[in-house]
Amino acid sequence: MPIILDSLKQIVVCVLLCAAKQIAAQETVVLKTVPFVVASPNFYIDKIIDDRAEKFLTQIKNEEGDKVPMTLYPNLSEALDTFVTTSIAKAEFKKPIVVKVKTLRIQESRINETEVIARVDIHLVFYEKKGRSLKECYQISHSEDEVFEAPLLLFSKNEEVSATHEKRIRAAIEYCILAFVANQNEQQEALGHFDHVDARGISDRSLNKWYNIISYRQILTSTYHKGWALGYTGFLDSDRDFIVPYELNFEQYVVKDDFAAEQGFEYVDSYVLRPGLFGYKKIVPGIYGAVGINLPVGIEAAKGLNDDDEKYRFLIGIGASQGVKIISWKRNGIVFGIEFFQQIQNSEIYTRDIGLEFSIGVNF
Amino acid sequence: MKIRKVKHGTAMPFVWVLMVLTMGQALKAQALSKNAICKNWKLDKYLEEGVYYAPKEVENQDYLQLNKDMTFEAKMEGESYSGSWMLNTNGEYLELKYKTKEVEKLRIQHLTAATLVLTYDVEPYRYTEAHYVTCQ
Repeated sequence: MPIILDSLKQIVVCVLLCAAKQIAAQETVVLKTVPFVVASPNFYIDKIIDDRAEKFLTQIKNEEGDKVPMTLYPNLSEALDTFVTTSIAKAEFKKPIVVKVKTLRIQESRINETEVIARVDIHLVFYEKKGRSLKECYQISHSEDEVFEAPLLLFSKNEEVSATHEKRIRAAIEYCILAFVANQNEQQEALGHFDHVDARGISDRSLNKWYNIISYRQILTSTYHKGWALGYTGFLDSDRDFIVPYELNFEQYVVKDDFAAEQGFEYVDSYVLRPGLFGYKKIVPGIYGAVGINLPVGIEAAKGLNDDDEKYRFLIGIGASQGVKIISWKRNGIVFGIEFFQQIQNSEIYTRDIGLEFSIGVNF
Repeated sequence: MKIRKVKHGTAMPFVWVLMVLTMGQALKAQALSKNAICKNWKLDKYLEEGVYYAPKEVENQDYLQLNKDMTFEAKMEGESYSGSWMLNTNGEYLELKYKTKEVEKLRIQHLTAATLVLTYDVEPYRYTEAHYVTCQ
């Protein structure tokens, strides 16, 4: 008997340890119970069923850098039941309603160089109890969006974004319940307010991804000059729209030595910033057509073969580019690009140039 | 009778802070109810990047009237609008739906019996507070 008891103890300890590890491997969100006013509801929420394909809100990186699921505490059904019951008391004389949660998820994405968006997507289906069966009486898909300041240049993370996910979950549930109440009570004004709600699925509610790309560009061939550039590109992906990326480049170009010597110069170097309008269009997933017009502005430093000092010249021009960018991996990975370029500028020794440029970078 | 002097220890500042915080919460909690917000709110001023400024001349008569039947009337930049509204207590926002079917979200930053501070959740007004006052 003592041996059996010892074995049982060991099994119990193992099970508890496994359970503890499982709990530790997820982040939980505790819903606050802030009541909201529901005008004399003739129903109560009898049961909330978690009918989601993915049983988590989102996946986040924990302190160890591992991806772990974020879930509601203690589970979705209990958390929502407690939250809703605070505002709509259960009573036997009222109509029992069963709610299936088809979707409840959290998304986050950068939308431009200064802002990020946080979103809670929810899709609820309401059922009336008819004996032992359920009859669908209403459904709603809704997104709770909130935009936050988060300047890209500082790569700053606005802590308020993750700290307020819980509030948006509550707001999303309240919104759906109020829409359902309006539908049930058939109050003309209230019903009119919610008649724009979406009862479709929410597959098209995914936020577009923001790409951060650091790339090195090298001129493969050009008529007069050679050089390189280092740059940052940030853009919000879109399947349909023309994408306007946020670009910041530093470029260093030199006129080819033999051409400079032909023109009587020891060297001609230029340091250029290139503000402009750039645009991408997704051709197929991972491949983007890229076009741009730009205004190269900088300084040209030239030294004649017989001169003792450098001569400086304010450099300005206009350029255009056409090419292709290949972003093989959506999350993190290597990015390739190839571009034709044309340029007109007020250089000391040449005014027109065309060439081909190759780029390699990483997206994160 | 001997008057006993109360010694103000280190706990007193915390008590004051707690009281102020509690009052603040109570004000906001009271404010976020349909009854508290169903008023005629007149546009008073704006706050942007820490600087208050008066509305433009065309906005002098601007107001937002939230009715108990969940309809609203408003004047914005001199133009009249109407439609329906709803309050999301947990999200701390108002949703206005205009007769034109356009929907706008107004985030409630602060609410007392006499003042309502809103931000319109749309570019380019997202970071500008609109301060409304009421005499009701």
